[in-house]
Formats: sequence, structure tokens, C-alpha cells
Amino acid sequence: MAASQIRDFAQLGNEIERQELEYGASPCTPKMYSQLLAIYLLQNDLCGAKFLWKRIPQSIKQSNPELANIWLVGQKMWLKDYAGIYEASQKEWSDDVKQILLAVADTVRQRALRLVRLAYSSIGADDFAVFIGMSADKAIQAAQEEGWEVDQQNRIIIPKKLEPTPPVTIMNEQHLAVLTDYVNFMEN
Amino acid sequence: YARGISPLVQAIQKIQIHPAQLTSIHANLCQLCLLSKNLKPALRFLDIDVTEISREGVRFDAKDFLLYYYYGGMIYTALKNYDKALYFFEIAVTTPSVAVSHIMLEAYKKFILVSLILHGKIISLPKYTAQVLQRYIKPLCQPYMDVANTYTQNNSADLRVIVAKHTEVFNRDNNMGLVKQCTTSLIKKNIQRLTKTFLTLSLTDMANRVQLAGPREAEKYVLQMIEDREIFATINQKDGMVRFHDNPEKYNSPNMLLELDKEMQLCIQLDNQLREMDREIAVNPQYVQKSSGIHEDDLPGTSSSKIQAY
Repeated sequence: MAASQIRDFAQLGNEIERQELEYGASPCTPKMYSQLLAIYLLQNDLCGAKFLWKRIPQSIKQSNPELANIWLVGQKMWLKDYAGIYEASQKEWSDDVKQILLAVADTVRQRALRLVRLAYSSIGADDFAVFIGMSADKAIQAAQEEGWEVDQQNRIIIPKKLEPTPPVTIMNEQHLAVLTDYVNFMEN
Repeated sequence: YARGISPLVQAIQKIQIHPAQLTSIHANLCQLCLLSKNLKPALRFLDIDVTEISREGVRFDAKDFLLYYYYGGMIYTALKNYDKALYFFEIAVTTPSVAVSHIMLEAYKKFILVSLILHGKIISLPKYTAQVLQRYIKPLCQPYMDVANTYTQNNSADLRVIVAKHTEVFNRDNNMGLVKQCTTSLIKKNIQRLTKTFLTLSLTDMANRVQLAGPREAEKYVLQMIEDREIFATINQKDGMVRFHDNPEKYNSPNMLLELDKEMQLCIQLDNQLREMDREIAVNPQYVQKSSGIHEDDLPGTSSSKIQAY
């Protein structure tokens, strides 16, 4: 999932938001609404998605079932119903939103993986499968690929803790300048 | 409603002398955003701390001030930024006043609820809160005080009873959504209290202590809290146990130093700003007159000529 792709979608989102404000009272095209809704889901901005759904006119909602399908994914995300999320995002999407929704499923999967790593010292294979939207056997395979221990008999998976990110280093001169500022401030 | 947002945004930017100035249009923009359910445009103004109020030749009214902070608080609450929402409601509620204002009353009700969600109790208001609040507004918020009292008892079942009892009031005030979030936050608070007593706990035990339906539901809550960083724990599904940890942050990493740096810079800036404002007031002729008028009481003849010299 390229970072540049995420950035592009973010820019697209800002553009559509701006256009929506310019349109004012007249409704936007269904394509704009679908794309913006999907982008909010990608950014995990569930509140933004909820309010967007509330302000889309009823007529557009009724004549565009795809919009309702995108919102269904959003609803599942709100409820943290992982099985539901993956199922809802499996539909056939139009070209406008296909890329975005694929990215949504991917980001959800990554986030779920991170959470499982953080939160579980051991997790049942079935539950793990639900989290990442794969069948139990595929899930076990994926876990083994990551290097996690798998207890085949009880189907328990033991996630490995993530290494903490290396710290950012600061330049020494910068540090000195900052410290001089503080001393200056405190003497006054 | 949506039609007005863009023109108002431009209007505010045109009228403001600097971005930290509050105008009477700010409240209108927030209201429009809430009505049209498009909250983002207001955020760019809400996120800046206000340091000055535009005079607009006596047309700026207390109502505009109160409404800005009330609507602002509502916008932050809708976006689940409870920290800033509480701050905004607190400002609305601690405005110096002699008369009772409905806006203040509604702001106080929401203040109670958000305070419960965020801190688990009604946080104490600063000393400069107006007396009217104590005398008139609090008695009018009885159902909310009931909720707050039951909340501090830490019993979810009791809280549900109280909420059911006052449902009509909450629905009428449009605060039912917030009240429901209070019930969820009480469950979370109870789980957090368990970390103080236990090192490991079984999920079934936790469900019983916190009055949840079963271990699966307890697991869901703990997982949610771990994701939101409200708790530090690991779930062991094999044994159905949860192990609580201390905050792994030791505050000794370069990242933490950078964070501290940022906070200190903010404090320094704030200090400079306050000095500026203090200086401005000190040379304001009205202030000088008042403060020196007190000293010059026994020299009536020379006082007025002395003021002229300034």
C-alpha cells in the first residue's frame, strides 16, 4: 500500500470537500459523494463519514445503491465488526471507487494486525482469522510467515511483539540553541 | 444551510485583523455547520485560541460569545474531541455574568456529561465562576446531577435505572446521545479501576465485576480500550485471562524529549503573549485612571491634571 497513493487520495478528499462547499445548496454528483465517503473510510475518519452520510440528500441515496454499500462498510467499521467489514467490501465496485475500497480493506487489515500484536499474548486461530478476513488455515499460514509461533493442536497463535521504532536523533547544535533559549527565558 | 458556509468563512477571514480574533460571525458559522452537518469548515477557526474580541462598534454581544463557545463545544463533541469540547463548555459556563442565560444553562448540562465521559466526575470549576451558576443554574439541572451522583457510585445497573427515569428530559434537551456515551464510559472506568487491584484477571471474572453479559463482551471492551490507549493490557485467549501492565512509557527517550521541547515552546510563547497583553492594559488610560484614582483620593485638585500628563 504505497504511501504516495494514500497521499493522493487525501488530496482528492480535500478537493472534493472544497467543491462541496462551493456547490452550496445544490447537491454534488453521486460520484463525488461515493469517493469522499470511501476516502473518509480510508482515513478512518468515521465521524466525518457519518456526517457526510447524514447530509447526502435522500434522493441520491435511493438512486445509488453503491453509495449505500460504501456506507455499509462504514457501519461495520464503526461497530468494529471485522467479519462484516471484509464481507461488505468484497462487492463489485465501480472504477471510481474500486481503488479506494481496496485500500480501505488493506488498511483495516494492517490496523487489525497491529492491534492483535499489541493486545494479545495468545489468540485462537478462528478469532485471528476473523480479524484479518481470511479463512482459519490461511490465517495460520500468514502467522507462520510472520514468524509467529503456532500451536497446531489447539490452534492457538502467539503473536510476536513489534520492535519499538528507532528514536529520532537531534542535531547537537540545535539542541544547544534550544537550551540557550530556555535559560534565557527563565532568567527574565 | 450549506449555501452559507463558504461566504461566511470568507467573511470572517476578511474582517479578522489577525487569526486569533473572535468576531460575531464565528457563532453564526458554527451554527450553520451544525445545521448542515458539515463540521470541518468550522474546525480551522475553532482550533485557534482566541486572544482578542473584535469590537465592531458595540455590536458584539455577549450572546455571540456564549454561542460561539456553546456551538464550538457541540462540534468538538460530535467529532469526539472531548478534551476541547470540555474546555469550550467551561469557557461558556465561567463567563462573568449577573443574569441567568439559557445558553449557559444548556452549556452547563453538556459540561456535566462531557466531564463524566472524560474524567469520570464533574471537574471543579475555577474560582472566577459567576455566583449565578451556583444559585440558579445548578438547581435547574437536577436530572444531570442525579446522573453524575450515580456515576460516581460506579454501579452500571443503577446508572441505567436513573437514565431510564429521566429519559424524557434528556430527549427533550437533545442530550440522549451523550447520556448513552456516559453509560459506556462508566463500564470503561470500572474496567480501569480493576487495573489498580489486579495484575491478572479472568475475562469471566471481569464480566461479573463490571456487570457485563459475558467474557466475550469483556474481551471486546478491553480490546477497544487497548486500541484507544486507555489501558495497557494483554489478552491471553488460551487461558481466557487479561494481564495488566504499567504504562511502558519511561519518559527517557529522545522522542519524549522532543515532545517536552514542543510543550515548553508553547508555554514560552504563551508567556510572551500574556506579557504583551499585560503591558497593553497597563498603559490603557481608563485603567491608569482607575488605579491611580484610588491613590489620589485625598488630592482631588491635582488628580485630574496628573491624568492629563499621561
